[in-house]
Amino acid sequence: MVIRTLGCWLLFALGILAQSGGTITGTVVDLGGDPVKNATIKATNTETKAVYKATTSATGVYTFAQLPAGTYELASGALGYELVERNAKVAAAETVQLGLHLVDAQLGTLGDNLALFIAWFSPHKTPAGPTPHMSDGKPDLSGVWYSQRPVDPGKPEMKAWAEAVLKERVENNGKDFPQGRCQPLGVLLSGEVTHAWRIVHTPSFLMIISEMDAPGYRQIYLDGRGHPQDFGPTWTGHSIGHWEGDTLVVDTVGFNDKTWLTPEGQPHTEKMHLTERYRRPDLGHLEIEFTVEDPDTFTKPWVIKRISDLAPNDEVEEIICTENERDREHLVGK
Amino acid sequence: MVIRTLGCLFLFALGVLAQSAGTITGAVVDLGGDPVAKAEIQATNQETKAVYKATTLATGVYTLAQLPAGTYELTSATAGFGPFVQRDVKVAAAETLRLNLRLIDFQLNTLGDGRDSFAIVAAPHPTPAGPAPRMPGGKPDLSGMWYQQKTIDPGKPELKPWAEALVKERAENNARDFPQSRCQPLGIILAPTLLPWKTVQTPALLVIIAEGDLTRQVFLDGRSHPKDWNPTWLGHSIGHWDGDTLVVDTTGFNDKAWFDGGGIPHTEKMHVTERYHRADLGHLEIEVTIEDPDTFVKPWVIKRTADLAPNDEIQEYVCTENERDREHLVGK
Repeated sequence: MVIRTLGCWLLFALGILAQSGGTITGTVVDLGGDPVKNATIKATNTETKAVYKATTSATGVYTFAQLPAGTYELASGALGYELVERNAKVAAAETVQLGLHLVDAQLGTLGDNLALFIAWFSPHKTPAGPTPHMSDGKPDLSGVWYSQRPVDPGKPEMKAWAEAVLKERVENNGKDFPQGRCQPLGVLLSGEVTHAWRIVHTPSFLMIISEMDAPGYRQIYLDGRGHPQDFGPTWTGHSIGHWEGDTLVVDTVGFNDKTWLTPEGQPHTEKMHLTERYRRPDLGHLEIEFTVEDPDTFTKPWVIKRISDLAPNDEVEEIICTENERDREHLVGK
Repeated sequence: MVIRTLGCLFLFALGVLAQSAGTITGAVVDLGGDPVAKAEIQATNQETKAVYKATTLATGVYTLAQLPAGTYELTSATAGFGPFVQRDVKVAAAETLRLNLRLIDFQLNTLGDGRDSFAIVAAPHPTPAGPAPRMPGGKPDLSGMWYQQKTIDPGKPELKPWAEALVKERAENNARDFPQSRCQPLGIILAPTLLPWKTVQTPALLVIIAEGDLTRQVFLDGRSHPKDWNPTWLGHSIGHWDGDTLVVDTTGFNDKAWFDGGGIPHTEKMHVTERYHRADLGHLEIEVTIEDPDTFVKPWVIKRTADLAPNDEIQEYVCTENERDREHLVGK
């Protein structure tokens, strides 16, 4: 009886929606004008914060039907493309046509094309098995891991100055992105942009070797020490870790303010405090949750969730950014 | 009686030497013309290979007395200075040859890397006493934070003519193309001699972090070198134990790294064997054998040691930050 009652209510509700709903539809194309299929488009009602999702067809067409009248923020996070955000207002019974142009995500390097990005960020086949453990009973996080795939990018809520800096960096074509001058990507970006990264884990020490980033390593002390008092701000900061159950919690302070937290140019200050929670639920997967706190930059903590797949047959390769470096001369501002 | 007899013989020998011996003396100065104290000057007789040594006084003066007449190679490997070599110095019997030497400060092209800092690095450090630590499986544990490697025996690279010519060209060109000046890697031979380094050992993997250079992986899991390896700056390293000595075998190098600021080259055929032996808690002995039949006439063996730096830590070194070298690098 309960089910039937619910069913009737649902039909009734749908009827109301059909009357008052609008439609946003359009074609998603890439820079070359070719349709992008299987792209996920998200529409967020700016007032109610309700989220609607659509996927493009083989011809690149997406359709949001039955949307309550209102203003929507459309975002596409298609693999291999830069995030595109666009606002659209739809009235009841109206159909709004909105085409979206996606821009290929590029590292500014020959060969870093769309197919490569899609391969990087797609789930990989991983061996099955339980979480390995260290001799002290703690999970062993050792392994070569593929790049971190976004599970939930979170949403940084910035103070006005940070919004302005971000806007300026975007308008300036990201000209001053540190990696464009072979400077470090930083802790937050390097795991996402690298092809593969390695964890070397001993009971008192954990080390991350990153393929892509200078200086190429991160040290995380698990021996119970605290942060030093006189640590000079650095690109990678000072990291200590402790276990909360089966989760390794890594606490990092002592950052300089030079890294960009996103390729678009998300800034931060030296007050940034990063908490990473690493959990290996099984042999083949590593879940990572980042909490970025910086009261001078963000109005509240920014939480990012990612996952990495084990790369048992892969290795961290040597990438020398300064070798045959041809970017610098092409970096121009607005 | 035996002692007395020996004494007479000794006096007699000295008398002979005094008659036929010459002297090389002079002042050792730095680029600015200031005297260099405690510089070690070595004269090698080019014919007999006999070696004579002197150390400069506070005034920078050295004296190599009682040298048998002949032709000598003068060398100096003084901390803080680049290597000095002058061949074909002829001294006749009873001659006193005056020869002033100018040493060139060794620089990383970076502010602050002066002679003093190199001298401090080269001096022995107090290290904690104790036996070499061991892994759970019984093998020595090489893990630790280490000061720069100090050269015990620099060996002597014997170069083929093309390599000699390239060294000469690089020197004449002010070492303009030294890769590190463009923030490219120093390579595995040079990097750990310039800045502190750290070893992290697990049963299957040894990681070497060289401050300011690339992080190296040495696989201890029994794998061999891959067949289809692309040449790299670090090459591909595998290690095995020979008793308590870890033997690291590296191939797959590109030909871009310089062995030192002097610009000794090598080819992609280079094969490096490193033997790491932790003599006790505080000391690591390293023997490096460089083979490259296209570059060297015979293997070049270098012996080094490193002191433990228990209270030190690797510091972040970002070469590309505030980099101002490039614009000042000029050739001849």
